[in-house]
Amino acid sequence: MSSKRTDQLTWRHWTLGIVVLLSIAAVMVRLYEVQILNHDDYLEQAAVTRQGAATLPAPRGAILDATGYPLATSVDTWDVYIDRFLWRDRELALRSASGLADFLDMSPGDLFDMGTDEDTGDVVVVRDMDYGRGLLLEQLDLWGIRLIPSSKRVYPEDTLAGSLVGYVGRDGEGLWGIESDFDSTLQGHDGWTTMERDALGRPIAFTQQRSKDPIAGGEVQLTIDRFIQAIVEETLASALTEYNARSGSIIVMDPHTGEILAMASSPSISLAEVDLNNPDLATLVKNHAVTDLYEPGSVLKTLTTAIAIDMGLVGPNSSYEDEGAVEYGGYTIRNWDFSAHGLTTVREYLQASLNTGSVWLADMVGAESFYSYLAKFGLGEPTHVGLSGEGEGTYRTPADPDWYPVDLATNSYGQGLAVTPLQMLTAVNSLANGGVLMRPFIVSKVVTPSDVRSYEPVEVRRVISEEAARTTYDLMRDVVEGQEWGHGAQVEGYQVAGKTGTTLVSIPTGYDIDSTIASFAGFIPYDDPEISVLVKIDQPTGGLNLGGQVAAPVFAELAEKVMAYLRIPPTEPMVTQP
Amino acid sequence: MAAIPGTERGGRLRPRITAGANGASTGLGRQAAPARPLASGWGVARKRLSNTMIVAVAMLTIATAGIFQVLQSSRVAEVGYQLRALETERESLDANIRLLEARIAGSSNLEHLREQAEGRLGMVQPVDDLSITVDVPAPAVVPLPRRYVETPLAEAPPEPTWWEEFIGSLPGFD
Repeated sequence: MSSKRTDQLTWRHWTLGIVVLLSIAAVMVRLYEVQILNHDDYLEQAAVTRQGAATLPAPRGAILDATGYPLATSVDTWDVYIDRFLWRDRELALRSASGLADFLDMSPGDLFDMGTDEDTGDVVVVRDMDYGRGLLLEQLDLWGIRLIPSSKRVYPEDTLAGSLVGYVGRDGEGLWGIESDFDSTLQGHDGWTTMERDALGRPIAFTQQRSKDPIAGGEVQLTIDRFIQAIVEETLASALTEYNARSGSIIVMDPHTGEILAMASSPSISLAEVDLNNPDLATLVKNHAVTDLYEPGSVLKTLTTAIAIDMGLVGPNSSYEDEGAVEYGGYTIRNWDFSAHGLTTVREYLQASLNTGSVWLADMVGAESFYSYLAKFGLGEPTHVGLSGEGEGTYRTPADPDWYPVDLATNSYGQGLAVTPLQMLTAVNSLANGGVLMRPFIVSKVVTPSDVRSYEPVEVRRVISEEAARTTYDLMRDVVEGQEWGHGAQVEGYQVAGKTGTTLVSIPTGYDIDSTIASFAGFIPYDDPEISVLVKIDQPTGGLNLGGQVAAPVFAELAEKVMAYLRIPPTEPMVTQP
Repeated sequence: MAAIPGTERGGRLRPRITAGANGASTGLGRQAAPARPLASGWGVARKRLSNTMIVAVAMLTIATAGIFQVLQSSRVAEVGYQLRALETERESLDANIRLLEARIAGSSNLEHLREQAEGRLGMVQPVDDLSITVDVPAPAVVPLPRRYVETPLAEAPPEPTWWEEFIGSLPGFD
């Protein structure tokens, strides 16, 4: 029986068509759901099962000195791991262990044991392998050996400025110093990359990758000059040995700008031999010139004198009767050498560093004005130099219940108050800077991939008039250059302005009469000072213990070398040896 | 050639249609098919092309498209490989730059300089400084170590071959 074809659509056609259309619609709905509505979820699921991710470490920025020399920088390295999961294949693991042992000059048995003692996880074999060596190892394509990019911090001047530059721990975090204070700038931001992996977790070539480039860490340029820093550290070490002193600090600054050119303290740490388990580590890594407080002693007489001159109470030739002792607030205050000089001018009092003279001046100034000026000089508040742990300093004022009138007298010659070495030098700098207090700074520039920040000198405030500052500064020159018997701070060929200080070491029960802190703050050359220096030597026990005996010669030795380095020609005629 | 009765050119049978009133089928003869439209231009062309030729052209088109697809894919893979290789080379060069900078810094540290000056060159610490005033201007700036050298000019890329130019001129290959 033959069937007839017809062009008419029957119900079967319609049914089939509707079924097909419904099926297509269902597929389209599902596709819409999968590819559009739940796109992100499925993408993530696919990524989890198929894609691997790797961190692209950002190179840590360098710390540069003022000349651009890297005091700290990073080099790329590799950490070498064994993938224990892949080393479950013992035959391949043996072969790989043998190859790795040849490369590393290690025992293949040890490597095999190390990589097969457990079935999962990675075990590190070598940390910080040299970059080039790591590339060679990668070319060997050993089974189950992973090379993870890493980096190693390098300190080219490893013994220099250890507590100032700082150190980076294994986790890449700065532990102290600039490394810690500017950690977020130096670190940068790690990048990442995703790639498709095969069943064994190996990247598949030519598959789609997504990645975000790492952002390199910024570079921090310091105002520290490594040559001056080296001179300072050598001089300090030599002085501590010569005077058998316990500790010390030296700061070199540009008095006009507040730039810190060098800053050293002892004890300190050498970055060449850092032992993080050392029980004394906390002391070694401290930047004592910024953190530690001390009584400045007679160096503070320069401020007392400047205050009195600024208030118009005295001039360089104003005089008082020095009887060797003065009664003040119920206490007798004597000169440091128990001497009496009779009629004494302001110039002579400062040259001889007489306590009676500063008490005379402070009494005329009055407590309220005296402490107000101290605050304007920046004492009792941090300098905001930008280094962590900076001390604020302390002194009592008439507003404090435990303040007594005698405090004014003792404070006037630098006893009974505490400052940091940096605070003291910053305050004295204003005398050489026309009476303007400059904020000290140690970072001159921060360069990030997207930004360059330069730090300019900051004028904090005018403390005293330009005339008063100049007069006091001249008096400081007379302290060094006007002595008939010479002065330990004198430098041949240059005029120096400065002031010594000697104070007893404060202990809980009062003062240790056998221990002193010898200090000297000075400027060179006098006419237009290029540098200001504060030398502080703690507890010298070699027989000499006064500021003029210990700290002043250290200043002279240091200043002579720095003048030569800075190529500052002598300002005075020199007598040269034939 | 004589025409076969009941046929027109080509001898194809044409049904004889007997129409009733108003065009309705009388049912007396074979049911009438609807009138075919006149042949269009495509239809004429279609008649002139054999099925074999159409299939051949279609296959050729598909094959050409496939070849282009393969060429494009291989080109993408090749460029991707080159890109990856260049990225690796760049990473390696960056790492080597950092390494060399560190080595240079290590070679110019003060302790090393002192060793070289005193040990290799036999220099000694100055005992006395002697300053002499001369009638020439001082250098404007103390020369500082320059950390970064000038960026060298990039090498010119090699001239593309005619084949690369041809591939590059195709849509999607640039």
